Order: sequence, then C-alpha cells, then structure tokens
Amino acid sequence: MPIIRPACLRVNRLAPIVIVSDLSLQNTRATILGPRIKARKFIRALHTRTLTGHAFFATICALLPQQYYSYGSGKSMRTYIIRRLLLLIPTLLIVTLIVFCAVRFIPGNVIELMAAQSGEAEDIEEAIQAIKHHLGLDVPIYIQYFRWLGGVLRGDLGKSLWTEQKISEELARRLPISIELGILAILTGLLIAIPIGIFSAIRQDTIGDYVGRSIAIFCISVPAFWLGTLVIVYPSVWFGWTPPLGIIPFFKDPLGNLRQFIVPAILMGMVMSGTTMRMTRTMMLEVLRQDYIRTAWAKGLREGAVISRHALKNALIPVVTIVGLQLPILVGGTVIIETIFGLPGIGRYFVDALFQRDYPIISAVNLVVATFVMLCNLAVDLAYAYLDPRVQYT
Amino acid sequence: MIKKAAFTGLLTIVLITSLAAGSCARGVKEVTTAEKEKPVYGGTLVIASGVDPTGFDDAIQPHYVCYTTKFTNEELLTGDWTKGRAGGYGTGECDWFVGGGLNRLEHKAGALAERWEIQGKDTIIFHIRKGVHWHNKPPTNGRELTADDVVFSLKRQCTLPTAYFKRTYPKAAETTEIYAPDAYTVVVKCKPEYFGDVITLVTDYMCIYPKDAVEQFGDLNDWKNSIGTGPFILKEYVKGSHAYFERNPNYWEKNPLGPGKGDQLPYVDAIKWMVIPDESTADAAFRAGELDILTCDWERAQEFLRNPQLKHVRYWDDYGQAHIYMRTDKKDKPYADKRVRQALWLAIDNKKILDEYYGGEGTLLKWPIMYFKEYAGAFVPLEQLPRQVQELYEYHPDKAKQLLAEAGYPNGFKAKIIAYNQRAYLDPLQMVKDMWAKIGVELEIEPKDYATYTSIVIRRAYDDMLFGWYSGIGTYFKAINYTGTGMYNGSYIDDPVLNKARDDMLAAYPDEAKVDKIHRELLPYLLEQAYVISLPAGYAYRFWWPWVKNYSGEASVGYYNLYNYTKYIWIDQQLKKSMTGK
Amino acid sequence: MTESQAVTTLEEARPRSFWADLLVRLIKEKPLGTVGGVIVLVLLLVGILAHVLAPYGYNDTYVGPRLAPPSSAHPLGCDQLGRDLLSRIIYGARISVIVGLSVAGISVVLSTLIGVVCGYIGGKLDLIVQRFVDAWLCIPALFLILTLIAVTGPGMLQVIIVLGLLFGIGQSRIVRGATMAIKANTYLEAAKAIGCSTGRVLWKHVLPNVTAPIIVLFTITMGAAILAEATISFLGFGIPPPTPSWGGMLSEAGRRYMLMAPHLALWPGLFLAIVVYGINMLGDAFRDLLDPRLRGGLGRYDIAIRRLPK
Repeated sequence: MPIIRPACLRVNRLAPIVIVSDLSLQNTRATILGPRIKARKFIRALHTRTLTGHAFFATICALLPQQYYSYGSGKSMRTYIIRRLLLLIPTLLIVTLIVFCAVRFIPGNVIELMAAQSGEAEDIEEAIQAIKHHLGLDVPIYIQYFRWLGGVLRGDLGKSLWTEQKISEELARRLPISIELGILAILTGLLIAIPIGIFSAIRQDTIGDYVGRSIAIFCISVPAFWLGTLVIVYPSVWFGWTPPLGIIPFFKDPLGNLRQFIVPAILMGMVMSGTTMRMTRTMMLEVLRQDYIRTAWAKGLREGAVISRHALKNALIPVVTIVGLQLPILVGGTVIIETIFGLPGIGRYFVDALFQRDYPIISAVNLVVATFVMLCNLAVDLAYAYLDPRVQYT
Repeated sequence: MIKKAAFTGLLTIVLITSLAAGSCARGVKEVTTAEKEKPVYGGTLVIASGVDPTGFDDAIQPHYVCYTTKFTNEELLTGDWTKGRAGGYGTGECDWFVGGGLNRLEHKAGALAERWEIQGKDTIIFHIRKGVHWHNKPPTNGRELTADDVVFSLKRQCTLPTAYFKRTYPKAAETTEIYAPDAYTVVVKCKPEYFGDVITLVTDYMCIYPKDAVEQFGDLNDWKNSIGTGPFILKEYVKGSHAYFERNPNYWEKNPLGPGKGDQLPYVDAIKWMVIPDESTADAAFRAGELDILTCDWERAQEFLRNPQLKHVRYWDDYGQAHIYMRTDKKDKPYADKRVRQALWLAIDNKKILDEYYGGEGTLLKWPIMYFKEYAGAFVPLEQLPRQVQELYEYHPDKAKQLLAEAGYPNGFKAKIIAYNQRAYLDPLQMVKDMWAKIGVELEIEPKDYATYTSIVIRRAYDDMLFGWYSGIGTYFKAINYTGTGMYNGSYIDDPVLNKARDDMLAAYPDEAKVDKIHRELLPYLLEQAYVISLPAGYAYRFWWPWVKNYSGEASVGYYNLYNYTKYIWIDQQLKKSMTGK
Repeated sequence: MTESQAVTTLEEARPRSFWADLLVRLIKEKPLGTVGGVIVLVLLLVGILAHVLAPYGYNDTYVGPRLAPPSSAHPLGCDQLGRDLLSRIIYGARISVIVGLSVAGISVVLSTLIGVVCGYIGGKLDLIVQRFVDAWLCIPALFLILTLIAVTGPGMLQVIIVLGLLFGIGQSRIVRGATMAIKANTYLEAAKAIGCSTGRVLWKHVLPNVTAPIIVLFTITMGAAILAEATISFLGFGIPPPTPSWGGMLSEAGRRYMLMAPHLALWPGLFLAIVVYGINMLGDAFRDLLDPRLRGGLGRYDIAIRRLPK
C-alpha cells in the first residue's frame, strides 16, 4: 500500500466541524475538532486504524458540502480521485437496494414460477411454501438484503435460484465475452466514425458532408436487431454460410473466435458510430474556427498537417468523453445482438435472469454493471482533465 | 405433468399430427421406407434447443427442464422404440412425435427395469435389469446399478420438499412405500386412490441416480456432478451456448431391430446440444448444414419443403397450445350463461383462421384433447360429434347475435383477455378481436411477459378472460382440464356431470380401454357446454438431413423422454461430407 | 460602400422574431435541415389525419390475401393476418408521432426542471440529487423498462412514461452542465442584486439562455424515442397489438417473414429510417443555427459575406 503524504490541517473558521484524516495506514489519525464554542465539551477525538473507519469518515465527508471539511493530502487530483471512489459506495448502496427491492415486487415472482411446474397439484400453496423456504425467501426483505450484502463483502456473489450455479463463476466466463465484443465494437465504431467525421467537417456543406452525415444518421436510424437478422438470414440463403454456433473461446482458436465476433462487432460499432461521427464533426468545426488554426493556415502548412497536428488533438477531447459514455452500453445494451448471434454474454445472462426472476443473478449483474458504469464515468472525467489542461478539479 | 409454453415461446407452437397417409408436400416425402444399410459407428450429432436447462437433478427441479438428464440418466420404464417407426422396422403403432405426454402403459418397454408386474390397484413390482453400469466417473467408477440406487432415488422424490412428486402430490408421496426385497427387485405400494398418479410418475418419469454420488454431493444439481446410466456422458456445459456429450462405452442397450440388430448403442461418438433462442438463427444454421435436425412450424417449413434432399414428418403438438378461458363461476359476468359462451364460439370463424393463418392444414379439435395415434381410442373426430357441437365449430354470426340478445346482451359487452406476449398467442387473438367486433363484443388484449403471465395462470388469477394452457394428453384420465381446483381448470368449471365422469375414469384406470370409452361418451356433452373456446391448431414439422440415419422424426420415446431417440441414430459421414464438404 | 450606406442598410433591416429568424436561416443555410423539417411536417400531418388517409382500419383482418406482395389494391401489400400494410403504416405514423412527441416533451420538461434547478442552486441540493441521478443512470435501462412495465402492464401510456423518465433523467446532466456554464455570468448577479426572486431569475434569465441545447435535445429525443420503442417491442414489452407501431411491426413480423415476405420488414423499416433521419437532420440544423459559438462572427464566413451588400 503506498504511503500517502501526511495531511495538512486546514481549518475553515466558518465551519462547525473539521475532519482531518490521514490516509497513510501507518499514521492513522482521524480527529473531529470543533470551534471554540460551548459545544466543545461534546467534541471527541476519534482514532481509527481500520479501513472501515476511514471509509466511514470519508463517506461522511462525501455527503457534506465542500466547505465543511478538508480532506486528504495536498494534491488536488488525488483528492478528487479518492473522493470520487468513495462516493461510489453510497451510490452503489442506493442502486443495489433499489434493484434488490424492486425486483421482488414485480408481479410474477420466482416462487410462483417454480410452483407453476407442479401444475396438476390440487393445492398449490403447499408447494409454494416449500419452495419459498428452499430458496431462502421466507425471511423479511431487509434480512435478505443484509445477507446478500454480507456475501458480497466476502466475495461471494451467490448462486442462481434455478440451477444453483455459482454466479461469480458464470460472470467470470461471460464478462470476457461481453468485453471482447465491446472492445471490437468500439474499435470498429471509431474506425468508421472518426475519418468520416473529420471528412465531413473539413468539407462542410459540400456533397461529401451530406453523404457523411447521411451515413451517420442511417447508422443510428436502422434498428440493430433488424440488421442483425438480415446478416444472419441472407448469407445462409445466398452462400450457405452462417456464423458458427457455440462460443469459440479466444485462447483455443483466436482466428475462429475473431471470425465469430467480427460481424456482431461491426453491427454494434455501426450503431455507436453515428453519435461519435457527429460529435467529431461538430468539434472539428469548432476547432477549425479558432485563431491558432488560422495562424497555421497563414504559416502555409498543408491541409494534412493543419488537421493532424493542430486540430485533431483538440477536437478529439470531447470525442473521448463520448466514447467513454458509450462504454456502459457494452455491458448492458448488447442483449439483442447476443440473442441473435448466440453469444453468451452478460446482456443475455441478465435478461434471462430477469425473465425468470432469478434474483441473485439480477442483483449481482446489477452491482457489477453499476460499478463498471461509475468507474467508466470517473475514467472519462479523468481523461478529460488529463487531456485538456484547462480543466481543473478542486 | 405438463411443460409450460414459456420455454418454446420463441420456437412457436409445435404441433402434432396423426400419421395420415399420403400427407406429402411437393418434393419431400414423409419417411416410410426402411433403412437397408448397416449402421456405422462414429460422428457427431448436432441438435438444437431454444432454452437452457434450468436444473440437472429432477428431485430439485422438475424433470422436463433438466434436459441434459435425458441424455445421461434413465428411468425404470421407457417408451417402446419397436412400437414406433424405428427406421422402418417397427410396428408403427406409435409415432412418438411429440415432446411429452404420451404415457400409455401398453406402449412401454423396460429400461432400468427388465420386467414389471402390476398387482391390484396398489402394488407395482419392478425387476431391475442386471449388468447396468453407472458412468465411469467418481464416485461410482462404473459400478453396477442395484435396487438400492432405485429405492434411494424414488424415495428422494417422495421426501425432498423440492421434488416434483412431493410438491405436486404430497398426500400420495407420504403414503407410498418403496422397498427392495432383494438386490434386483423393487416394490412400490400405495393407496388405491393415488394409484394413477403413482403409476404415471414412478414408471417413466423419475430418474434414477447413484446413491453414493448424491450422498457425497448433496444433490446432483451441478452439471459437473452429472452421473447416470444413460447412453451419453455430459462433458461440458456452457450456459447460453451449448452442452457437449460423449458416448458411454459401457451402455447396456443393444439395437433391438433392423440391419443393426444386436449392435451396442449408441452409435454416434458425441452429441452437441446447442442452445439457439432465435428462430431465424436456427433456420439459418439448419439451412447451412450446421444443424442436423430442426423443428419448426408450417410457415418456416415451406422453404424446407421445397428442398428434395431433406426428410420430414409433420404432426400436431399439444404443448404450448392456448385456449380462451372465461370466468364461468362469476354470476355477474356474462360467461356464466351457456348461451353467451356458445355465442362467442359461434362468432369465431374457425375454418377461416385455419385456412388463412395455418395454411389450410390443421385441426379444429384441440380441447380437451388433440388427436394422437397413441390415444386414438379416447378421441372423437368432428364428423362423429352431434350436430349442435359441429355447429359450434362453424361460423354463424347471426345466431351468435341472437343468442347474445336472448341472454340479455343485445348490444354486446366489453371483454378483456390476458395473454402471453408472444406473436403465436397474439396473432390468433387479433383475429378473434376482429371477428367479435362484428357481434358487438369489444375485446381488449392484455399481453404479459412470461413470469407475470405464468403466475397469473397458475393461480387462475384473472377477472375476465385468459388465454391459457391446458394439461396435455397424458393426464386425460384425471380430467384436470375440466374438474377440480388445479390451474388447468382455467374456466373454474364445477359441473356434476363432469365430476362424476372423472370419478368413473379414475376408478377404471389402469384399464385404458374402459377409460377411453368413458371419455368418448363424455366429449359431446363437454364440448356443447362451451366452457372453453379453443382455436384451431396448425401442423408442426420436423426436418432432418439425409445423413441422419435410423431416424423417423421422433421427439420423445415415452413420457417426456426428450432426445432418447439419439441413441439409435447413426451418422452417414460419407454422405455428409459429399453433401456439405464438412 | 460608404459608411453611411452601410449604416442605412443596417437600420433598414427589420428585426425578426427569434422563431422567424430561425426558420428563415434554416431554409437559406441548411438544405439538409430543411429536408428534415419537411419530413417531420409530413409525419405530423399524416399522424393527425390518419383516419382520413388510411383506406382500411388497422385491424381489418383478411381484406387481402395473406402476405400479399404490393399490388394495385394494396399498394404496400398485406401482412400475415391479411391486413392492409399501407393503413397500418399510416396509423403507425400516428403512434410514432404520439410516442415521439410525448416522450420528448416529458423528457425535456423533466430534464429542464432537474437540470436548471440543480445547476443554478448548486450546493447540497445539487449533490444529493446528482447522487440519485447517478444511481438512476447505473441501473440498466432494460431492467427499468421491464420492471416498470411488468408492474403496470404494457400499454402506450406506460411505454411513454417509462421512456420519458429514462431519457429525462439522463439528459438532466446536459442541461445542468449548460446551466452551470452560464451561472457565472454577471447579468445573473445583477438580477439577484436588484432583488429578483430565484424563480424569476430562473424563468427570465437562465431559461432563455439554455434554450438552445434544450431544443436540440427535444429533436434528438424524439428520434431516439421512436427507436427505443422499436427495441423494446423486440423484447415483447412494446405497445400491445393490434396497435400498429413501426417498431413492433419490424421486430415481430418483419424478422420472421424476412425471407417469405420481405416487404413486411421493408416498409416499416424504411419509414422508420426516413423519419428518424429527418428528425435528426432537423436537430442538427437547429444546433448549428443556435450554438452561440457557431453563430455570428464565428459562423460560416462566406455566408456572413453574402449578407453584406456588395
């Protein structure tokens, strides 16, 4: 664990509370001080050595407005990162709680679904009670939630209610598939979007621009599931070819695996490239109006040099953020492509669980996806700050 | 014991037909000729399913969702392959085309039980086959099957709270005694009133598991612990993608007839069982020769019927069929009145639906049973039904309006129907909506997703109308479609005539001929009451490539024994290579 | 050109209202945007006059042979229940209009409310509300749709509310960003200094200046909503049949009959693509015209030249 520099004490005279915390685990000290007022006798100094203690204080810090506390070491970026990471926890708690409770109130709960299979029973209630007990659903919701939370903190994401399969195992198998699909999709999306976007911007309001923008809009107007079906049906009729059934693991057969993924990746990439294309075009347009570009032209540089050396870097900053914002789609929005192409990814896992009301899977996938989304947002914000020197985080 | 339609929702309604002679479509013939070539070992069979298994131990999850156990485990009895078409050498009494529900004792053969005896109405004695070995996997390591294993497995079903038998028939489970007087005999004793339930389940439904494995692992619901006596061993399962089985070299069964008589089964080296939820993808895979066998409905079948290389059968299937149920018990609703029900039925042009939507080929008679060759004795064809009943299946909108007026609804009324949100359910309802609009009945369709729909169906928790399922042919003698308080009595029917008929049938069972007679005599009354309105059903088709030999279109030989035809199949690899180059 | 002539020219130019100015500039400068505008206008008209234009009702089964290809009696063919496809597409336009406009309306109102209030007031309120917005964005959209529709049952109203909520809360971030960007402006401080209440400041000073991104968001959401409805129809949660929505027609019958009757997928898909294209082009054009950084002196140099008298 790296040693973080000791904190400097900053006291805001207007603030009633000051929390000083040093994140170095070797020199742990969290103290609550107070102003010189009557309430002083209620002030205690609290020490903590544990991560949980720090997390607790940090959470309190996170919930309080900025002017009420000072926190962390001098470097503001690190502070910002830590603060954001700690803000993750309450948000995750809210999200998982909402989903946990909501899913149990959707009509058609899993107990009835399982009991439905004893269709001929004269009295379905007995079966329902037996199943309820077997699944551990006969305790109140908050107890179920805390049990689940306890399990998560120990690293156990639970077991499927139907097949009793360990969820962490299944997720470990499915995440790489979704991630691979996602990475390929983003890459193809960028390969399509950026050149066309740049081209559209440089040749604004010409035929080239119109064609480029039309392609972009077409990409986002046609539903992906329709294109996907088209791609599966017609080649099998014309060429007798169909994408291979059954997942080919990457390490067993990299080429086969890539062949299997490339068609769905292109489809997804096309859908995502629409927005990226238009954002690239807009940002390029804005950048091309700047003074420093005019200077570059005046200097006599070729068009290529102007674009690549001066315009591109600045124009692509928001594009990075757009791509980053599209990342969460990869873990959540791939259901349709996965269904059509038969890829066992996270999307289908989640939707199947939703249809069967498999609560542990829903909660686990939700947790994973939410964490991923928030980390993506953080990464995007940081990338933005890193790329654009004008952006400061206090 | 009925499967629920959700699992094949995307594969649409699969229909079963009688083996009508001369039912050829252009170019493709139904299989009637006998195979002459001698079977060859080797090859991989690729078959598809629309859904994943949701269990691997039928004492934890019901038998019909534990798809892999149908390859790896066996029951005491099974359907008699030699009574089917059996590659052209069987007697052809049975078709075995549907996925489940065919459960006549006279069509059974011994699987793990070599012989069996039924004594009175309370005892069955099974004589366990000798020389049956478990898979060569720890902890059984290929040891022999004994009566202990059988008793243990059957007792599990009676005691575990999640077991199907205990859940569905708790009183029967409590009062059934199972014991083994010696190493190769098992005796099952139960109360006479539960005999029908016990016989249907104990014989061809409960899988047999090894006692030591279950004790070691707790239960066998994890696929990695799968052990059985079946023809295939489960090697790999990837959820959402596929399951891979390898041949069991120590399987006990030998090919009973045909040119391969006496060969040790199975013939194929491996089976790839693919999970393909999307219809179009399955069609595309079959077209390209990646899939060996395809089940589809009549519309998707049209393109394959044009291919003379393929073989096919067509049939009706009662799985997943839906009917219009009404709250006939609520006195304030219009449906309590028989005239209203008949009016609603008369206003539906069944023939038009059959011609237009099902391509002119199908059956009008669907409820309470469809025609199956194996159950021909219980069925009454349309021509033999009385005139009033035949009229119901025709189109008489003016008579419908007149009946409605008599019942007190001259201007019609509003109705709401809850349905499963799949196209195969909603399309017929849209036609019904249009037809009922002409007699003044305004129908509002409420589609629900699978889980919501299922929970409504099992509790019959609807207020007006429900487009729900019924219990298939296998339980016809229990009359649960029109008596009792189970979920299949969707219309809340409580009719003393029907209740008496049910009691008579249960008393007569297992004399199946007698039960058939009672059922036949009941049908005219039952249909005339119009408690349930059923729409026509179309054909389902099964296609397979010619390199799949010794296969005549079977789906399940016995009661929910899906895929057990695979042990008889052999692949002509030369032919496959010449046709597809793979 | 002398100074006095330039001055007279400028004085004679009548100041146009904001909307009229927008419209004129749209037609003059943005041909693609104009095309988009025309498409949207046609869509609105067809939607409003659907019952007049459609030759049959949308659930008149078997007025033509099943899966019939286009013919003189049925210009776009018939679907699997023998219903006239042209009528269903026309009624589908009405559904698309209703869904698109309602969802866009709800989402704009919601996002403006949350975004402007949070962005302007800031502080604790902003922090807490943003945590809930974050949490909302983390929950997969599919789950939300499924849950909400499973609880309330499918129907057009439920679909509209669900989509409106989804888009609205997500887009509040953008409006909030825009609000925060103008928060530092002096004219707001001036307004506060002379005693304007927060409400008045928001309504009179903040809101007009964030109109630009809001207009753009409205048009984009309209297109996205129509597409989203198509996607959730694929999963079976869309507007229940027999109501014809283009997305529903595309996802059910269109996919199944792709080989047997491609026109079933062709027409809804084509019209869907055209309408979404038009809406997006219009939105693009509005953004180009309204973005202050692209306006005026930083706008297209040669157009600005053309405006000056020779």
